[in-house]
Amino acid sequence: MRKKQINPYQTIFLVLVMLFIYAPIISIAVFSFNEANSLTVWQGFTFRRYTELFTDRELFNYTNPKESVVFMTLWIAVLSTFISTILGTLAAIALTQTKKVIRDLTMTVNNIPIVSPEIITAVSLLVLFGALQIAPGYNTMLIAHVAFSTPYVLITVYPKVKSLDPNIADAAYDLGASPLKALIKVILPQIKVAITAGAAIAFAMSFDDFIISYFVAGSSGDKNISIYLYTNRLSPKPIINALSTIILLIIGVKIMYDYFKKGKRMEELE
Amino acid sequence: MNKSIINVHQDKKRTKRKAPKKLEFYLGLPYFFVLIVFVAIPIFLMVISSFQHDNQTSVFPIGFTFAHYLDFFKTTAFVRAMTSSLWIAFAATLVSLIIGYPLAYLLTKLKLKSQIALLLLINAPMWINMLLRVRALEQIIRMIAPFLIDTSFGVVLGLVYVYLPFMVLPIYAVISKIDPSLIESAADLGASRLKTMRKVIVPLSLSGVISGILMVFLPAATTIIVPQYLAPSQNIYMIGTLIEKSIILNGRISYSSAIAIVLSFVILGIVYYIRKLDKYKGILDDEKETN
Repeated sequence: MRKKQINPYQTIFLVLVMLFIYAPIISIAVFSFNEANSLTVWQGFTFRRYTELFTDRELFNYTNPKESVVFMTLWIAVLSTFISTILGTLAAIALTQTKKVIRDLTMTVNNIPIVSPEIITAVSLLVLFGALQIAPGYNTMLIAHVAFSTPYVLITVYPKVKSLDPNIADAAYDLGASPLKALIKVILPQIKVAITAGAAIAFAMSFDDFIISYFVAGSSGDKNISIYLYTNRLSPKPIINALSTIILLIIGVKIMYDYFKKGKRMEELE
Repeated sequence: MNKSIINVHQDKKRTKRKAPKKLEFYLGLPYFFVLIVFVAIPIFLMVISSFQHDNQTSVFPIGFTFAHYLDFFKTTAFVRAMTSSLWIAFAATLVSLIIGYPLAYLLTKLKLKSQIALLLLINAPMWINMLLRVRALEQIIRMIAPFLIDTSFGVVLGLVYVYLPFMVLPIYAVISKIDPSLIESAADLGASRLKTMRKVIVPLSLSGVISGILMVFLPAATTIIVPQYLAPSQNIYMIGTLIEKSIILNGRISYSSAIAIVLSFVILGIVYYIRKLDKYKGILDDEKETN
C-alpha cells in the first residue's frame, strides 16, 4: 500500500489544503514584523512589537508572575496536564480490570465532557462553582481544566491498555513481580506512547481553552491567553501578532522535534 | 462438546481473575471521584438551576419555575439562534468532510515518512490557540476577500478552518489501520478500485467518519469565537453568542442553564441519529471481546 504514488491532481489538492491551513498563520507571523499599526498594510520591518510584548506588564509580569497572563496560562496548563495524565492513565488501567457495568458507566460519564459542547460543560461548571461558592478565578480554571482534559487522556490511553496482551502482565506476575512492579515495569512502558499523546492533548486543551475558562473565571478578571485575546479582539494590538508568532515558533520547534524523532525510530525499524 | 467449550472459557476467566485486581481497581478511584463531582453533579445542578428564578439577591434560591423554558416560545431570539447555528454547523461539517476524507485517504497512500510529516503539519494548528487561528484567518480574509466578513459563508469558512483537523485525524486513524491484505484480497477477487473503495474502505472507515462528523458538528454549532471574529457586527446570531450574552453580560445563570439543557437535548438527538449511521459499529470490537 505504501509503494503507491499519488497523481498530480492529488498533489495539487494537498498543496491547496496546506496553503489554506498555513497562509493565515504565515501572514500573522509576517505582520508581527510590520512597522505600521495595521494588520493588512505592510510598511517596513521592525522588531519593536517583540520588545513591546516582553515589557507588557499584563502579559509578562516578572516580579509578580501570578498577575501575568502568559505565566498563569502556562502554569495552569502544566499543572492540569500533570494531574489529568495521572488520573486518566490510572483510570484506564483500572477500567480493564473492573466489572463491565462499572466500565460502561465510567465510559458513559467520561464521554459527557467530550461529546457535549464546551459551552454546556462551561455552564454546568459555573453553576457548580456558584453552588459551592468557590470564588471564580485561576482556581476554578484549574479545576475545570482537569475536569475536561482527563476524559481525553482516558480515551487516548484506554484503547492501548485494552489492546495489551494480558499474558505479558500475567507472565510478570508468574515471575514474581509485585502488582506495583508489574505496573511500572511492564504495563506503563507498553502504553508510554499513548500516555504521551494523552498528555499532549491535555496540555493543548488547557493552553487553548477559551469557553470554559471564560465562563468559570471571566468575571474575576483572571485571564488566560485566550481570554486576553478575546477581550482585545476589537482593538488590534500588534503585540498579539508577536505573541502569536512566538507561540507558533515554539509549536514549530516541537513539531520538528517530533518529526525527526519519529523519522529516526522509523529508520531504526527499517 | 459444548461443555468443554464452557470449561475452557471458565478456565480462562479463572486464570485472568487470579491477577491482583484489587490494586488496579483502586487506581481508578481518584478519577471516579472527579467524574462524579465535576461532571455528573454539575449537570444535575444545572438542571435544578434551570428551574430557578434569576434573582441575584438570594444566595441559594430554592424555587420552581418553567419561566425560562416558556421564554423560548415567547421570544424569537432563541429559535433564531438555534436554527442558524444548526445550519451553519451542518454546512461546516459537510465542507470539512468533503475536504477531510480525500485528504485522510491521500495521506495513507503516501510513503510512511511523508505521512508522518503531513500528519504533523495538519495536526500542528490544533496546538495553536483557536483564537489566534481565527484571528489569523480574519486578518487574511480582510486582506484578500473583505466581502466575506459578516456573511454566513465567512463563518462557515472559519469553522472549517478551525475544525478540519478534527475531521481528518479520526478518518486517517481508521483508514491507516485497515489491513492492506483486505484491499489486496478485494483486488484479487476482482473488485475494481472504485468497488474496493465503496465496499471495503468506506465501510471500514465509517466509524472514523462518524467521529469526525461529531467532532466538527458539535463544537461548530456551539461556537462563540468564530462568529465574534468573522461576523463582528453580530448579524449572524448563534446559540453560543446567546448563552455568552445572557451569562456574561446579563448574569442570567438560570436562563442560560435552561438554554444549555435544551441545547443538550437537541445535540443528544443529533448524536443519536449520527451514531446510528454506523452500521458496522463494533465489528472489530467484537473480535477483541471474544478473544
